[in-house]
This record gives sequence, structure tokens and C-alpha cells, in this order.
Amino acid sequence: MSLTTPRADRLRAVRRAWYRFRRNPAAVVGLAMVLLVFVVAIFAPLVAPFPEHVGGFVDFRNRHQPPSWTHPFGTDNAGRDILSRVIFGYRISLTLVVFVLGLAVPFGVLLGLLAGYYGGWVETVIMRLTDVFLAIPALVMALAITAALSPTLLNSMIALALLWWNWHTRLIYTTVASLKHEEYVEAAKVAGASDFHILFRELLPNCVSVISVKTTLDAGFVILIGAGLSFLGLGAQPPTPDLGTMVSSGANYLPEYWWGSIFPGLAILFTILGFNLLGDGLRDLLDVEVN
Amino acid sequence: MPDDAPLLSVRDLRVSFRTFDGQADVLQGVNLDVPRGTRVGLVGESGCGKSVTMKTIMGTLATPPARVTHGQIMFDGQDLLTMPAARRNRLKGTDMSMVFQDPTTSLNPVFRVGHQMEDIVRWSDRRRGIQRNHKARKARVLEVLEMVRLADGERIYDAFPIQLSGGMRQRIIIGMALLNEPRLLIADEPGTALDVTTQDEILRLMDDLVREEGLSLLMITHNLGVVRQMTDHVYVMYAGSVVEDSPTAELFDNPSHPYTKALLACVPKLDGTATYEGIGGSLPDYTDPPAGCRFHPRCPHATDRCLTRPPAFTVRPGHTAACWLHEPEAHA
Amino acid sequence: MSGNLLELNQLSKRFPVRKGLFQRVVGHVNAVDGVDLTIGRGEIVGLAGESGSGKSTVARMIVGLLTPTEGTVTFDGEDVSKQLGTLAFKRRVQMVFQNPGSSLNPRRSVADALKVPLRVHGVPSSTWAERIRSLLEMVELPATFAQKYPHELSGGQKQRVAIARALAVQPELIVLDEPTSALDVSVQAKVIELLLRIRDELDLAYLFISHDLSLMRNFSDRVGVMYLGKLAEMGTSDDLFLRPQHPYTQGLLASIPVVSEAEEALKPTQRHLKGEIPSPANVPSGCRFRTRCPHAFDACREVAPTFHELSATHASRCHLHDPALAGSAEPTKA
Repeated sequence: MSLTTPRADRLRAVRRAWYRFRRNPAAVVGLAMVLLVFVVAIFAPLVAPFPEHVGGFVDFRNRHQPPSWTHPFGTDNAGRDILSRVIFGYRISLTLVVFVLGLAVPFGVLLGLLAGYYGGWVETVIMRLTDVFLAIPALVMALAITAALSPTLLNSMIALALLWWNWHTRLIYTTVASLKHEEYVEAAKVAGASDFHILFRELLPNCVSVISVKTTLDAGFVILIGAGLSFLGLGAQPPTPDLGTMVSSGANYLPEYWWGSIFPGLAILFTILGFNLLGDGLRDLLDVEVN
Repeated sequence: MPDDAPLLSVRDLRVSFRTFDGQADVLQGVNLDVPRGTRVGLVGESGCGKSVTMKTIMGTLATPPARVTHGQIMFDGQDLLTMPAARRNRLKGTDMSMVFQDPTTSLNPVFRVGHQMEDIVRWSDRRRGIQRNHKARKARVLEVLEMVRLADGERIYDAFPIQLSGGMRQRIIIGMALLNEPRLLIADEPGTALDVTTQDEILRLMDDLVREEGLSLLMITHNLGVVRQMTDHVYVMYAGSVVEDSPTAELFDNPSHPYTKALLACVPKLDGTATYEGIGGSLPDYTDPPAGCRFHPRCPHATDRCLTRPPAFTVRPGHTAACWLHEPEAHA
Repeated sequence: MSGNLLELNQLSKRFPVRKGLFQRVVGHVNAVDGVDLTIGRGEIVGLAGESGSGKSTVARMIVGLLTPTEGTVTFDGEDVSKQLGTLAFKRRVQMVFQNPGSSLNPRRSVADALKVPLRVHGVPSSTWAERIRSLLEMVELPATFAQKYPHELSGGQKQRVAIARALAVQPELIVLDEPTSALDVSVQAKVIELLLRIRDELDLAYLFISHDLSLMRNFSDRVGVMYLGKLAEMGTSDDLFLRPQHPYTQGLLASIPVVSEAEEALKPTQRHLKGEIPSPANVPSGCRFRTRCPHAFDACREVAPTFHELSATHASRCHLHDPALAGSAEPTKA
């Protein structure tokens, strides 16, 4: 008989998971990178050396300063500190991620659950709908939507959310289609459980690992595509410190003033890399197949 | 090397695993002999260490987390654990080969049966430095298909695994193990995944082949009935060590270790005389095993003596039991 | 017998076979083909057979996971064919599944698993904690196990929880689908002992599905042997294991690996069965067992045998029991 308490058991389980996670150095680095981005973004006004440089601030005497101790990433064409703007840029990137995935993931997962569990015409309707969305290249679709609606940050977020749900639907659909034959689902049916119970109490908890791995990997791509939209002038508009916009406006002064777009570009790379390493690590830890 | 030395001889094999909970000493000094031309069984319940033993012999144990801390595995007079990896690989699949348990997963579904079997011949030819053309290789494959009593070898040669029944696939797996004329066949729960009538056919076939080809057989299984039907000598494992070893008939007539007795009592009998006592308690935690005899916390005969690990005492010639009950003085 | 708890009358299940772009139905598989079976109160009836015999399909129809194509199910004297999937019927018939690894949801605690039937069947939530404690006690697990998750339990412990879950609604019949086939024999023995004790205490009836004939011999009062969707032989445990009459039963018994000479003596000495069970989509004409039967003769190809009552409790579906046909059988055998 076990002498440990349930609470201690739970704690042990968490420590065991951390032990396994730690043995994957790439994942630990990824986690550190993602945490750094979050901390910096949340405490941006405290962390950024020149928080006032974020808006429409102009200081032409200091424009195009190369990286230095005062301005580690240099200054841009209006004399604003690029590091400060990158830090605030992370806020926008993360808002984008939370908004897009916050809308797309629950919606996509819900449709995936329904399609996978019920099959039949429900499956046919939902899965053919995802096919339609998959047939259109993501960036083209986003361009069309934002162009049709007027280019603002909010509209680009809506466009991305519209594009993203179907990936989660497909993933959850295949997961549920195999899980629904597990004996615990049949046992719940034999006990008389409702479909609602089976969908949300039996099946959904078993999809959490795939969802979290997929969502983590997605976060990097959402940032990338969001930055791409801003780069093309269809996302956040200047002077908002958006990373894509910064790369784009800095590109006008290449190659002499290279730091104007290189540093925001590296900042994008940093987050994407962080999310991907973390996602891969989680995938190994939770032992799930995504895509 | 004298010819009466066992073909395979495992001496004091110890294997540990590094886990979150600390070091797990899974194999605690396993001794096991497979004499030439005999059929030997290694039997035990899940978690007893029989698979780790088999994997260590075959060299398929993942290291880390596992580590062989001590012991020898002598095959035909050479220690597998110290020989160069290339030499060991040459032995694997040629002199010693393996019959896997699950016929549905041990064949690759996307290649034709003949293709997969020919690959095996080609790889071993390369290792042995032999040149054979496709025709000669195919002839060998067809010959083996006939050996495993598969009529219509040409058709099976061109078939995909999915087109064949479970029993046929199991025969092919046996055939694959025989392709390179091994001397030692290691069988891991053969036929367990099959229905009882098919399993019976497969076991009979293996038995015939072992006799016809003069092979030595090491069979790993949890099924005492299969061991009784298929082997000459049995090793019973519990919690990482051999607790009893004996000629097969003798073991079933006169089980001597309390674990073996309890295990045999649990097997449902066709004559309706089963007891449902089971064995109290459960398999020990390998990271924190009980001192001395690892079975003592579950043993009805346990005494203070059992806190010291018992050596293998001879019960009768060729029959040993690692239990203090069989200490020679105890009988006096 | 009026005292039967469950009666299956000509129960059948046909699955459509679909093919092609439009999933057109091109044929049917008779997974279960006219099975008659009775289970008395407090009785343990075994259903044996190889994979593809349809034994699990019978089980799943009784608990409402599959809908019968034909036939009736009578429970406690009442025709319940139309109520098989309903809540009211699920309260009376429960099931324990085969695989302890997957019959409990890995993300839900033992208490969560036991609450499902309690909630569904309207047991007041104030009494749940007490019910869970007594259910765990009944399956000989300590109350602290309520907070555990499946990965913290051994195979035997998981199966005990699954039994507790089936007992939660106080059913009259439990379908046991290979409840111990994934367990080691030492654990199996304890679970079987538990099941027998619970049967005695609660006067339950079991339908026991298994391919393990030695276990069936010890556990079941009566046994039916199924082959390709039909019952081949039915009788008491003694009838079937001491006096097997159907060539298939004899072949099955002959192929069991046993551990003693006493058992060896009980095995029929007939020739071994050839080949494997045919696909249910392609059932042989006449007697469906004839392709593997060592005694098959001409009539077996043409006429499907009926059940021959050999005694009040024992019946076998084979032409050998028909004096008119069997007479012609002998000379054809080599």
C-alpha cells in the first residue's frame, strides 16, 4: 500500500516531468527564451531604457546612431531607441499571439471534437470546410482580408484567427477519431454518460497535450505571419512599435544603417526560435504526434 | 573450446537503470546456460527482468538509461559484452537470431514479404563478405518458406504482409530468423498474439524446426504451459534474479522455490482445480528493493534468514532453488 | 426456465461492408448469427471462442454499444430489445472491459471515474464520497485510492477500479469482456477471487467473455463455444470440458498448453485443427467449421447443422450427432 498522500504524489509527478524536461537542453533554452520575452513584454515600461521613445517621439539630432552603450540596438530614423521599441514591440507580438490563438484554438478544438466524435454528416460538413480553408494559402488569405477590411492591427488579428482554427480542427479530429474507441469512452457510454460529458470530460482532457504542443509551435508562426503582414503595411501602423513595421521602415536605410531592421528582425527570430524549441521539447515530454 | 560447453552462458549479469527515483538494480546477477541442441525456457511475470535479460543478450538494450554493471555473456566461448561492436553485430542475425512476439508489427507493411526476407540475406552476406545474386537469395528465401511449412512460396514471396493471416505472418517471422542458419534461436513470447489453435500450430512448428535443424532455443515467456510443452530446462525469474532452475519435467513435478509453487498454483487448470489465492503483495520497487531475498515480503515461509540473499542451492542434480529452505543443513 | 435473468433469442448482428467512392453497401458480415443464450440469476455463463467468433459483439449488443440487427433480448421476463441503450437498462446491466490500460481515462482520477455512473443515475451528490469509499472497499482497495490517477495504479488495481465502476449502479448482470487477459496469472487469480466473492455477496450474474478455456473451466457454471458468429456447443462446465462433443471444442481443448499430467489426460486426443478461422465476410457453406474440421464429410458442405440436444444441459451443432448423416461419414475418413 502506498504511504504517500495524493498531494505529495501530485508534487512528485510535477518534479518527475521537470526532471524529464530538463534532460532536453534545447527545450530548457526555449523555455528560458519564451519566459524572457514574456517578462520583458509585461514589464516593458520598467525594462525599456527609453519608454518615451515608443510613440511619436522625435529627436533628429540622434537619428541613425549606431549601437552603443546608451543605445545597444542603435537608434532609428527619428532618433528613437530601437531596443526600447523592440521591447514594446514584443507586447504587440504577444497580444497578437494571445488574441489569435485565444480565438482560433478553442473554436478549432470544438469543431474537431464534434467532427471526430460524431462522424457522419457532422464530420463531412466540418472537415470539408477545413479543406476549403486549407486550400487557400494563409498569407494570401490574410492579405485579402486585411486589404478588404482596412489595414489595422485588429483586422490583421481577425484575419489570422480566421485562418488558424482549421489546423486545430484537423489535429483534434484525428486525435478524437482514434480516442473515441478507447475503452474508457465506451465504459462511460455503458455507464450512461451524456455526449457532453464524453466530449468535454473524457475526450478533451486527453487532447490537452496535443493542443498545448501545437499551440506553442503555432505561437512562433503567428508572430512570423503577423510580422509579415505589418512588413507589407497591412498590420499595425506607425508609429506603433510593431516588430514587422520596424523591419520594414528600417529596410529603407539599408545597408548603411543596418541596425534599424536587423535588430527587430533578430528579435522576431528570437521569439520564434524560443517557441519552437519549447514546443519540440513539450512534444518529446508529452510524447504526442503533431501534424 | 570443448563442445560440451554451453552455446550461450550468462554469468552473474547485473544491469542497472538510471531513473528519476534513483538507481534501479533490475538484474541482480542472472546466471543462465543454453547447452547446444537444447530448448531452454526463461519464464516469469511482467516486470521480472526476463525482457531486460533477453535485450542484454541481443544487445538491443538502450544504454543509457540502462547500464551493464557486471557479468559475462559467453556465446560459443566469446564474451559478447567485451567483443568489438562490429564482431557482435556480425553474430547478431546470423549465429544468433530472434523470433519476435507480434506478427502484426514485426513485418513492414509497405514491402513485399520476399523483399524483406531477401534484405536480411543480403545484409548478412555483406557482413560475412559473401557475394550472391538475386536468384540465389530468392532461392534461399523460398527454401526457408518451405521449411516453415508455407505452401505456395512463390505467392507468399510476392505478397504484402496485410494479405496474409496472423499465423502465416508468424511463420514468416520464424522463417526470417532461420534465413542465416543460426545456431541459437531466441524467441520472445512466440504466438502470444495469436489464437490458441494457431499458437499451438506455431509452437509445434518451432519445436520441429529446432529438432530438425539442431538449433538451441532460448524461449522467453510468461506462459507456464508453453514452457512445459516446449522446453527441456526452465529458469524461473523473479524481481531480477533466477529463483529456480530445473529440468522442465522435474520443475512441474517438484517445484521447490515458494515463488514457483505459488505461481503454479495460480494457473487456472483444465481439470477445474485452480485456487484463487494468488500471491499477496506486489512486485517490489526496483529502486528500493527489500533486503536479501526479494521475494521474502510476499513469501509465506519467510524468516529472518531471508534478509540475507540466498545462493542457488541444489535441490536435486540439475535442479537449484535460491531459497534458504533448501540449504543443505536445513534438511539434516 | 422462468427464472432466467437474461434470454437472447436468435440475436444477430450484421455489419454492412462498404466500398468505393460513394461508400456503397456491397455486402454484409454476419458477426453474430442467431445466438440463443440464457443466463440465470447469480449464474456465471462463459462465452469462449477465437478472435472473429463474435463473442465480443454479443457482449456489446447486450450493454447497448451495438444495436442488434435481429432477434430479441429478454431481461427478467420482459422484452427489452428496444431499450438496450437506455439509461433504465444500463442501470441493470454493466460491463468490465478487457484492457486495464485503456478502460480508465488517464486524465481522470479514480473518484472521477466512479462519479460518472453515480451522477448519471441520479445518486444524490451528498452521498458520493461515502459510496465511493464503500465501492473501493468492496473491491479491496483503500479509500485513499479515490484521489489516485490510473498511471499510479498497477494493472490489477485498475481492473478493480473498473469493477467498482460497474458495481456503482448496483446492476444485476455484469458483462466481463476478457477482464483478466492482460494481467499476470498471480494477479488474475486475485481478481477472479474478487469477482466470485462479489457474485456471492450481491447475487450477481456474469456473462464472461474469454479465449482462456482453462480459466473458463474454473470460473463459469455454463459455457458456450462460439465459432464464426454461431454457438457451436453449449453446456455446463463439466459437459464441455469432460465430454466435449463438437470437433471445434475438441480442437480448442487439444491445443491448450497445460501445466500438469492430470490436465494433459483431459485433453482430447483428436487431430489438430488445420488453418485459421475464415473471415466472417466469407463464411463457408453448410457447416461453417467444415474447412478446419478433421471429420468433415460431404453433407457438411451442403447442409448447415442444427443444435442437437445431447442432454438437458448439453447441445452441440454438428452432423456427427445426427445418426442418419453420421453413418455415411465414417467411410470417407482416411
